[in-house]
Amino acid sequence: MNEHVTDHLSAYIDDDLDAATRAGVERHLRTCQDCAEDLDEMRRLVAHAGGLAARDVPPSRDLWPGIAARIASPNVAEFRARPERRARVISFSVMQLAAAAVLLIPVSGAPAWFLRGSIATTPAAAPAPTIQAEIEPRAAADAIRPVNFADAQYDAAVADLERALEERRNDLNPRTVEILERNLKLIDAAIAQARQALEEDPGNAYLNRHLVESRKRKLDLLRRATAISEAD
Amino acid sequence: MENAKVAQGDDVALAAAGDTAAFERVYRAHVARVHGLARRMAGPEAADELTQDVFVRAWQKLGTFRGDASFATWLHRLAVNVIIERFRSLGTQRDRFLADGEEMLERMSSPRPSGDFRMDFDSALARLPQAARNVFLLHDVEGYKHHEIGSLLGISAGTSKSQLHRARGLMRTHLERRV
Repeated sequence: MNEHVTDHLSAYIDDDLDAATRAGVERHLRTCQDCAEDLDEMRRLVAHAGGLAARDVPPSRDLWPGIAARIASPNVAEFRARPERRARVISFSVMQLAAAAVLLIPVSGAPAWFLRGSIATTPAAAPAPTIQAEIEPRAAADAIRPVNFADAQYDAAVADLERALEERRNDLNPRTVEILERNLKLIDAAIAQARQALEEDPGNAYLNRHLVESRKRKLDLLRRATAISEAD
Repeated sequence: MENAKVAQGDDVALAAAGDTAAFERVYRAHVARVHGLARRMAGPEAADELTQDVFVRAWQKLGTFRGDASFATWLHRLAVNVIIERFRSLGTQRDRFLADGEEMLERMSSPRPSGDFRMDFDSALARLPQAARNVFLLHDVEGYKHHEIGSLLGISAGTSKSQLHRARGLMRTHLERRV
C-alpha cells in the first residue's frame, strides 16, 4: 500500500478494518511520516472528544424557574405518565392511605414477613405482602394529590394506620406485635434524631432526605402491617 | 459516592410521584450534562431552551423509568431523542443546503483560527454537516455504539460508521487551519 492511508485512519483507530487492509495500513504507517502524524492527530482529536462530556458545566443562567413554571402548567401535568405499577393494596379505605401509597417505594419487605409470624434474619429477602384488593389506578390517581412527607396529610395517614393497627392488636401474634413495635421504635428514633438535627441545620439536604426516607419507612411498615392484619 | 447515588435514586422516585422539590434536585444533578449535550448538538443559542424541553419531557416521562438502566443513562437517551425530534420538526432545510453545497460552504466560511484549541474545536464542530456532527458527538463524545446511534437516528450502523469517519476527517481539516 504505497498511497497515503488518510481515508482509513478513522476506521483503523476503531479497529474496524478487515485484516488485509489493516495490515496494509500498518505497513504504510511504518514508512510514511505524514500518515503517521495524521494518525496521531486523529487520535488526539478522538481523545479530546472523549473527554468533553466530563468537563460539562451548568448553563450560565438558572433554567429551573422556567422548567418549574412549565411543569406546573395543566397542559404538562395532563400528559404526565403515571408510574407503572401493579394494582395496589388498599386494605383500608382512608383517602390519606391512598395518597400515601402512591408515593411509597418498597424500601423493605421485612415488616410483612415479621407479621406473618416468621422470624426474619435477612429482611431484604422478605416477600411482598399479598394484594388484597384492587383499585383502578387512574381513578385512584385522580382522587389523590401528592403528599409532602413533612405535612399534616402524612401525619394523618400515619395516625389512621396506627389507630387501625391498634384495633387489631389482639388479633395478632404477640411475638409479631413485639417485633413490629421494636421496628417502629427504631424508625421513630431515627425520625426524632433527624428532626432534632434539622432544627440546627434546616437546609441540610442529607438530613432532609434521611427524614423523608425514615417517614416513608414508617408509613410503609404500618401500611403493610395493617394490610396483613386484615388479611389474617 | 454510593450515598449520593442512593439519594439521587430517592429523588427520582419522589419526583416520579410528583415531588417537584425532588425533581429540582434531579435537575441540578444532571443539568450540566444535558446542557452540554444540547449545546454541542444544537449550538449554544438553542441549548437553554432544549435543556428546558428535556427536563419537562423527563418530568412527564418519569413514571416510565423502571430502573432497568441508570437514571443518568435514561435521561441522556431521552435528551438525545428530544434534540433529534427538534431537528426533525425544524425541517431539513439546513441539512439539504449543507449536503448540496458543502464544499462551497467550506471555502466561503472558513473562519480565522483563534489559536485556542477548545474554541477552534467548538468552531470546527459547529461547521460539520448536521448528520455527521450528530454521529460524531454521539459516538466520540457521548460514547454510544454504532447500532445504538442507528436506532436513535434512524440510520443503519454502516451509515453511522461512514458518517463518523467523514466527520473526523472534516474535523481534522478544520482544525489544521487553525495554526
